Amino acid sequence: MPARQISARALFAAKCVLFAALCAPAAVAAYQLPAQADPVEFIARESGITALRILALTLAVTPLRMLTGMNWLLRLRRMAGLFVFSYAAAHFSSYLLLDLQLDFSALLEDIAERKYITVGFAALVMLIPLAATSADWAVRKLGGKKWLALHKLIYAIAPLGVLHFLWIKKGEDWGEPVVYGAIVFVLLSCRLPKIKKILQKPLYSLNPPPIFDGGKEKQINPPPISDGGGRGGETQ
Amino acid sequence: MLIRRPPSIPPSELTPPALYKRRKFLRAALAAPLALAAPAIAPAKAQAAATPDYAPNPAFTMEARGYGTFTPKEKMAGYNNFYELGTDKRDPAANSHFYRARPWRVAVSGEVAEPLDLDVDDLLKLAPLEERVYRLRCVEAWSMVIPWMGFSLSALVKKAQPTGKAKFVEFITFNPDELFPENSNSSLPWPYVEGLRMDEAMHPLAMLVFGVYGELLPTQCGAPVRLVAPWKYGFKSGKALVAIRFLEKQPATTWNVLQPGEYGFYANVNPNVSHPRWSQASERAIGGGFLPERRKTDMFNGYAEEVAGLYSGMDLQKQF
Repeated sequence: MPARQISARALFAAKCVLFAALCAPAAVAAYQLPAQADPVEFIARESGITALRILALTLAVTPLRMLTGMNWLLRLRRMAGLFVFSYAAAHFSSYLLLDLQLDFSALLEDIAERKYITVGFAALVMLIPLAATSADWAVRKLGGKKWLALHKLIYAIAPLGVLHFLWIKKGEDWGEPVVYGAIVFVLLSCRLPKIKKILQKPLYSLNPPPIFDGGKEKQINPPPISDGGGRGGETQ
Repeated sequence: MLIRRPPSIPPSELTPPALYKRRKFLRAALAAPLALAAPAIAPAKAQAAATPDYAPNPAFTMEARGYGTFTPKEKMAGYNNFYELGTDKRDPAANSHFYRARPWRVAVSGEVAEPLDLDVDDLLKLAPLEERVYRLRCVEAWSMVIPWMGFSLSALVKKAQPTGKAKFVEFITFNPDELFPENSNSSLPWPYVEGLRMDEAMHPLAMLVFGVYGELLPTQCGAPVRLVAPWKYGFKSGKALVAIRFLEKQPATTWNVLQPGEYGFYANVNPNVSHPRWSQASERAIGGGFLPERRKTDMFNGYAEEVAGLYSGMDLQKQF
């Protein structure tokens, strides 16, 4: 059975590995950049798709935790979330700085008139409060409940990101956005109470945790795993 | 193979002379042993046709058109919209092995007195090949300055002798589902179809193109023969043509059928008609520098003097 928690040292190592892995797309893109005919389009595309991929990764943490009981995964999620914001910010900045060259009237026209930019911009704006409240002090200040409610914004951001991607595509080139859409749909469905129950059940019924209780062993019902949640996981 | 450098390109944009001479030397050094082995590689040589002779058209040089930036060959040949070979602009270069551009036949049919079925290497001899530096403006708001090699489409039109009924010309690209079914994709309904009005097709600017940068077209640029209508957005210029048909009615063109609100039949470059996806007021001019330069888009892509007359009396806001 996979470990529910890991040692501080192992967690640090996992964080280092994840950090490197999440930096890798930027490094690869930087390496490929000099060979690009249109670096503006290249930076925008690579940063955008990377943000969407890491966003899917952050959404996968909770279902994975429910399935495997690996609660320590939760402690990697904040870093991944901040990377989503960083790539999305790079995506927007490259568009504003390199493509529009700080033409703010063109920016406003784009946001108002081009629906793929409207939804993309909305998703970016919603990411800002999430990034701003990622630190521990913000959780304390807001209180766990409020913090959790705020961070449920990600459930809106993810579909908007997919829609942004879908609407950029031309012709009938829908394959990729549809795949991303399906992944996000499945990951969000895991949050539905009914599906949550199914995901949590098998783990505990197959591997009931032995409890010592006055000399005889018995099974207890598992504590429900809160979603989104997360922060609870860290204090265990 | 002799690579002729078009004299119209500013030397600063080209390979430094020292490097060029070295390349020439290397090529000669490589060619010598190859010449000895000539009998053995003869069939391969026959397939890769030699670069034909051509002359620069003095009316369409960098200087004559006042073009400041020139797009280097590497950028032009690595950044293509050719959905048959993939939808990413880097795909066509990577997938250029999907088909061979020779042997290749082009059929000319429809409302014509003389239907034709020509090998592309015979088609290429229909008129003297010229080099013309045109600006290519993509509907995606970027542009390139490219030295094409070919001749006016009107030469072919005259040869085919359209009947009085012919009002439009339809250009059909190969069907990837037939040419390479295992590598085909479904990003567009195939085959790709484009079209021009008869007077547009007869306009001397409309060019049947066989080469670029002094060489035959690389596959990713639409080999072996494509259209270039420089006053229109790039998607109007069909690549790797297999059929040209003269029609009485306006042909159903691919993008126009798919998204009529976004892609008009005319698709003339027009900075005043905004596209739902891109403001068309300006463009990224892909030149020699690392970052493209933002420039204002010209009416009819800078060819207004030549082509504006074709559209007099038309509301270009509506018939975009």
